[in-house]
Amino acid sequence: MTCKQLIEFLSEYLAGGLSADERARFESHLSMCSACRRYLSQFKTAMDLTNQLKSDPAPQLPPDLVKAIVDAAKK
Amino acid sequence: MTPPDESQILAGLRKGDSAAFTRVLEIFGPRLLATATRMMGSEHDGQDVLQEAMVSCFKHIGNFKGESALYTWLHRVTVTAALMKLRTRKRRNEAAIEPLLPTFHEDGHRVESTRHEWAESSESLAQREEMRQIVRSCIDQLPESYRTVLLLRDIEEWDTAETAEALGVAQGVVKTRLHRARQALRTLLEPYIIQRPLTSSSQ
Repeated sequence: MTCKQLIEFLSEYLAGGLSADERARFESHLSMCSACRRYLSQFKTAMDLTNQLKSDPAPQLPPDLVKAIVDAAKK
Repeated sequence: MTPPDESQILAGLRKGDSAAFTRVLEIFGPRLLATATRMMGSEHDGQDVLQEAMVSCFKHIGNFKGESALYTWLHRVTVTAALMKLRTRKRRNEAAIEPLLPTFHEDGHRVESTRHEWAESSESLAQREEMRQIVRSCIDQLPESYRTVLLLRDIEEWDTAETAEALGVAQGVVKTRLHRARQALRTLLEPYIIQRPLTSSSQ
Protein backbone atom coordinates (compact mmCIF):
# COMPACT_ATOMS: atom_id res chain seq x y z
CA MET A 1 0.00 0.00 0.00
CA THR A 2 1.29 3.48 -0.87
CA CYS A 3 0.70 6.69 1.13
CA LYS A 4 -1.76 7.78 -1.55
CA GLN A 5 -3.79 4.58 -1.19
CA LEU A 6 -3.70 4.81 2.58
CA ILE A 7 -5.07 8.36 2.53
CA GLU A 8 -7.86 7.29 0.19
CA PHE A 9 -8.90 4.67 2.76
CA LEU A 10 -8.74 6.93 5.85
CA SER A 11 -12.44 7.64 6.33
CA GLU A 12 -13.35 4.00 5.71
CA TYR A 13 -10.65 2.91 8.16
CA LEU A 14 -11.92 5.25 10.87
CA ALA A 15 -15.49 4.11 10.26
CA GLY A 16 -14.40 0.48 10.65
CA GLY A 17 -15.39 -0.22 7.07
CA LEU A 18 -12.24 -1.95 5.79
CA SER A 19 -12.03 -5.70 5.28
CA ALA A 20 -9.63 -7.61 7.53
CA ASP A 21 -7.11 -7.82 4.70
CA GLU A 22 -7.32 -4.11 3.82
CA ARG A 23 -7.06 -3.20 7.47
CA ALA A 24 -3.95 -5.33 7.93
CA ARG A 25 -2.28 -3.71 4.90
CA PHE A 26 -3.34 -0.27 6.11
CA GLU A 27 -1.92 -0.81 9.59
CA SER A 28 1.24 -2.39 8.26
CA HIS A 29 1.94 0.71 6.16
CA LEU A 30 1.04 2.97 9.08
CA SER A 31 3.50 1.22 11.39
CA MET A 32 6.34 2.00 8.96
CA CYS A 33 5.39 5.50 7.81
CA SER A 34 5.65 8.48 10.16
CA ALA A 35 4.24 10.86 7.50
CA CYS A 36 1.02 8.83 7.29
CA ARG A 37 0.78 8.56 11.07
CA ARG A 38 1.09 12.36 11.20
CA TYR A 39 -1.56 12.78 8.50
CA LEU A 40 -3.94 10.37 10.24
CA SER A 41 -3.54 12.22 13.53
CA GLN A 42 -4.20 15.61 11.88
CA PHE A 43 -7.17 14.23 9.93
CA LYS A 44 -8.68 12.93 13.19
CA THR A 45 -8.06 16.29 14.88
CA ALA A 46 -9.91 18.06 12.05
CA MET A 47 -12.81 15.60 12.45
CA ASP A 48 -12.85 16.03 16.23
CA LEU A 49 -12.89 19.82 15.92
CA THR A 50 -15.83 19.55 13.51
CA ASN A 51 -17.67 17.18 15.84
CA GLN A 52 -17.20 19.53 18.75
CA LEU A 53 -19.18 22.25 16.96
CA LYS A 54 -22.22 20.13 17.82
CA SER A 55 -21.95 21.51 21.34
CA ASP A 56 -22.10 25.14 20.18
CA PRO A 57 -24.45 27.08 22.44
CA ALA A 58 -27.90 27.13 20.87
CA PRO A 59 -29.19 30.67 20.24
CA GLN A 60 -32.38 31.76 21.97
CA LEU A 61 -35.28 32.43 19.62
CA PRO A 62 -36.20 36.13 19.53
CA PRO A 63 -39.73 36.60 20.93
CA ASP A 64 -40.92 38.25 17.70
CA LEU A 65 -39.80 35.18 15.73
CA VAL A 66 -41.77 32.90 18.06
CA LYS A 67 -44.80 35.15 17.66
CA ALA A 68 -44.44 35.27 13.87
CA ILE A 69 -44.26 31.45 13.67
CA VAL A 70 -47.23 30.90 15.99
CA ASP A 71 -49.32 33.53 14.18
CA ALA A 72 -48.53 32.08 10.75
CA ALA A 73 -49.26 28.53 11.93
CA LYS A 74 -52.70 29.61 13.20
CA LYS A 75 -53.72 31.09 9.84
CA MET B 1 -38.20 15.77 27.03
CA THR B 2 -39.84 12.66 28.47
CA PRO B 3 -42.27 10.68 26.32
CA PRO B 4 -45.42 11.62 28.32
CA ASP B 5 -44.54 15.31 27.89
CA GLU B 6 -44.08 14.73 24.16
CA SER B 7 -47.43 12.99 23.78
CA GLN B 8 -49.12 15.82 25.65
CA ILE B 9 -47.49 18.39 23.38
CA LEU B 10 -48.40 16.37 20.31
CA ALA B 11 -52.03 16.36 21.37
CA GLY B 12 -51.84 20.16 21.66
CA LEU B 13 -50.20 20.48 18.25
CA ARG B 14 -52.90 18.34 16.65
CA LYS B 15 -55.56 20.63 18.12
CA GLY B 16 -53.74 23.69 16.75
CA ASP B 17 -53.10 24.96 20.27
CA SER B 18 -50.89 28.09 20.34
CA ALA B 19 -49.46 27.13 23.73
CA ALA B 20 -48.25 23.81 22.27
CA PHE B 21 -46.61 25.64 19.32
CA THR B 22 -44.85 27.96 21.76
CA ARG B 23 -43.76 25.07 23.99
CA VAL B 24 -42.22 23.22 21.03
CA LEU B 25 -40.33 26.35 20.04
CA GLU B 26 -39.09 26.81 23.61
CA ILE B 27 -37.85 23.23 23.87
CA PHE B 28 -36.50 22.54 20.39
CA GLY B 29 -36.25 25.98 18.76
CA PRO B 30 -32.71 26.86 19.91
CA ARG B 31 -31.17 23.61 18.66
CA LEU B 32 -33.08 23.83 15.39
CA LEU B 33 -32.04 27.46 14.93
CA ALA B 34 -28.41 26.45 15.51
CA THR B 35 -28.76 23.84 12.75
CA ALA B 36 -30.47 26.26 10.33
CA THR B 37 -27.87 28.95 11.05
CA ARG B 38 -24.96 26.56 10.42
CA MET B 39 -26.51 25.39 7.17
CA MET B 40 -27.32 28.88 5.89
CA GLY B 41 -24.18 30.62 7.16
CA SER B 42 -26.04 33.44 8.94
CA GLU B 43 -28.51 33.69 11.81
CA HIS B 44 -30.79 35.93 9.74
CA ASP B 45 -31.19 33.31 7.01
CA GLY B 46 -31.31 30.61 9.67
CA GLN B 47 -34.32 32.34 11.26
CA ASP B 48 -36.08 32.53 7.88
CA VAL B 49 -35.53 28.82 7.33
CA LEU B 50 -36.66 27.95 10.85
CA GLN B 51 -39.83 30.01 10.45
CA GLU B 52 -40.70 28.35 7.17
CA ALA B 53 -39.98 24.88 8.53
CA MET B 54 -41.87 25.28 11.81
CA VAL B 55 -44.95 26.81 10.19
CA SER B 56 -44.97 23.88 7.77
CA CYS B 57 -44.58 21.36 10.61
CA PHE B 58 -47.35 22.89 12.69
CA LYS B 59 -49.73 23.11 9.73
CA HIS B 60 -48.98 19.57 8.62
CA ILE B 61 -48.62 17.87 11.98
CA GLY B 62 -50.79 15.10 10.55
CA ASN B 63 -47.75 14.06 8.49
CA PHE B 64 -45.92 13.15 11.69
CA LYS B 65 -46.67 9.48 12.17
CA GLY B 66 -44.72 9.03 15.39
CA GLU B 67 -42.17 6.72 13.74
CA SER B 68 -39.37 8.85 15.15
CA ALA B 69 -39.02 11.27 18.05
CA LEU B 70 -40.75 14.60 17.41
CA TYR B 71 -37.38 16.40 17.43
CA THR B 72 -36.02 14.08 14.73
CA TRP B 73 -38.95 14.96 12.48
CA LEU B 74 -38.68 18.71 13.15
CA HIS B 75 -34.93 18.54 12.49
CA ARG B 76 -35.42 16.70 9.21
CA VAL B 77 -37.98 19.26 7.99
CA THR B 78 -35.66 22.12 9.02
CA VAL B 79 -32.65 20.63 7.20
CA THR B 80 -34.78 19.97 4.11
CA ALA B 81 -36.01 23.58 4.14
CA ALA B 82 -32.40 24.79 4.42
CA LEU B 83 -31.30 22.58 1.52
CA MET B 84 -34.13 23.90 -0.66
CA LYS B 85 -33.19 27.48 0.18
CA LEU B 86 -29.55 26.79 -0.60
CA ARG B 87 -30.54 25.36 -4.00
CA THR B 88 -32.49 28.47 -4.91
CA ARG B 89 -29.63 30.78 -3.96
CA LYS B 90 -27.81 32.17 -6.91
CA ARG B 91 -25.22 29.49 -7.35
CA ARG B 92 -21.78 30.77 -6.59
CA ASN B 93 -19.05 29.64 -8.92
CA GLU B 94 -18.09 26.66 -6.87
CA ALA B 95 -14.35 26.54 -6.25
CA ALA B 96 -12.55 23.31 -7.05
CA ILE B 97 -11.64 21.17 -4.06
CA GLU B 98 -8.53 19.65 -5.64
CA PRO B 99 -6.14 22.42 -4.48
CA LEU B 100 -7.09 21.53 -0.90
CA LEU B 101 -6.40 17.82 -1.26
CA PRO B 102 -3.03 16.21 -0.56
CA THR B 103 -0.63 15.77 -3.44
CA PHE B 104 1.74 12.89 -4.05
CA HIS B 105 5.14 12.21 -5.54
CA GLU B 106 5.35 9.71 -8.37
CA ASP B 107 6.34 6.98 -5.94
CA GLY B 108 3.06 7.49 -4.01
CA HIS B 109 4.56 9.39 -1.05
CA ARG B 110 2.66 12.47 0.07
CA VAL B 111 4.14 15.90 -0.54
CA GLU B 112 4.38 17.46 2.92
CA SER B 113 4.45 21.23 3.22
CA THR B 114 5.70 20.93 6.76
CA ARG B 115 6.64 18.11 9.06
CA HIS B 116 5.35 19.70 12.22
CA GLU B 117 3.14 17.75 14.53
CA TRP B 118 -0.08 19.44 15.55
CA ALA B 119 0.93 20.00 19.14
CA GLU B 120 -2.36 20.38 20.94
CA SER B 121 -5.12 17.87 21.37
CA SER B 122 -8.42 18.55 19.65
CA GLU B 123 -10.09 18.79 23.07
CA SER B 124 -7.90 21.64 24.25
CA LEU B 125 -8.06 23.37 20.86
CA ALA B 126 -11.84 23.18 20.74
CA GLN B 127 -12.19 24.73 24.17
CA ARG B 128 -10.97 28.01 22.72
CA GLU B 129 -13.72 30.10 21.20
CA GLU B 130 -11.14 31.53 18.79
CA MET B 131 -10.42 28.03 17.46
CA ARG B 132 -14.11 27.19 17.13
CA GLN B 133 -14.56 30.36 15.05
CA ILE B 134 -11.65 29.31 12.86
CA VAL B 135 -13.16 25.85 12.34
CA ARG B 136 -16.52 27.39 11.40
CA SER B 137 -14.83 29.78 9.01
CA CYS B 138 -12.77 26.97 7.40
CA ILE B 139 -15.92 24.87 6.93
CA ASP B 140 -17.58 27.86 5.26
CA GLN B 141 -14.66 28.03 2.82
CA LEU B 142 -15.33 24.53 1.52
CA PRO B 143 -16.98 24.28 -1.89
CA GLU B 144 -20.74 24.20 -1.25
CA SER B 145 -21.45 20.60 -2.28
CA TYR B 146 -18.70 19.41 0.09
CA ARG B 147 -19.63 21.78 2.92
CA THR B 148 -23.22 20.51 2.90
CA VAL B 149 -22.18 16.86 3.12
CA LEU B 150 -19.72 17.59 5.94
CA LEU B 151 -22.40 19.44 7.92
CA LEU B 152 -25.03 16.75 7.43
CA ARG B 153 -22.74 13.79 8.15
CA ASP B 154 -20.34 15.09 10.78
CA ILE B 155 -22.43 17.68 12.66
CA GLU B 156 -26.10 16.88 12.08
CA GLU B 157 -25.32 13.15 12.37
CA TRP B 158 -27.29 12.02 9.34
CA ASP B 159 -26.23 8.69 7.91
CA THR B 160 -24.96 8.16 4.38
CA ALA B 161 -28.30 6.91 3.05
CA GLU B 162 -30.42 9.81 4.33
CA THR B 163 -27.82 12.35 3.22
CA ALA B 164 -27.77 10.81 -0.26
CA GLU B 165 -31.56 10.85 -0.44
CA ALA B 166 -31.84 14.48 0.69
CA LEU B 167 -29.21 15.61 -1.81
CA GLY B 168 -30.44 13.40 -4.65
CA VAL B 169 -27.07 11.75 -5.19
CA ALA B 170 -25.72 8.20 -4.88
CA GLN B 171 -24.36 7.02 -1.53
CA GLY B 172 -20.92 6.61 -3.09
CA VAL B 173 -20.96 10.31 -3.98
CA VAL B 174 -21.73 11.20 -0.36
CA LYS B 175 -18.83 9.04 0.87
CA THR B 176 -16.39 10.57 -1.62
CA ARG B 177 -17.49 14.14 -0.87
CA LEU B 178 -17.28 13.57 2.87
CA HIS B 179 -13.78 12.14 2.66
CA ARG B 180 -12.59 15.00 0.45
CA ALA B 181 -14.29 17.59 2.64
CA ARG B 182 -12.46 16.24 5.71
CA GLN B 183 -9.13 16.28 3.86
CA ALA B 184 -9.75 19.82 2.64
CA LEU B 185 -10.67 20.95 6.13
CA ARG B 186 -7.42 19.48 7.49
CA THR B 187 -5.55 21.51 4.88
CA LEU B 188 -7.43 24.71 5.73
CA LEU B 189 -6.86 24.27 9.48
CA GLU B 190 -3.16 23.46 9.22
CA PRO B 191 -1.78 27.01 9.05
CA TYR B 192 -3.77 28.11 12.09
CA ILE B 193 -2.67 25.22 14.22
CA ILE B 194 0.96 25.14 13.17
CA GLN B 195 1.76 28.81 12.73
CA ARG B 196 -0.15 30.00 15.75
CA PRO B 197 0.64 27.44 18.42
CA LEU B 198 -1.70 28.33 21.25
CA THR B 199 -0.50 27.55 24.73
CA SER B 200 -2.81 25.48 26.82
CA SER B 201 -3.40 26.04 30.49
CA SER B 202 -4.04 22.33 30.78
CA GLN B 203 -0.53 21.42 29.62
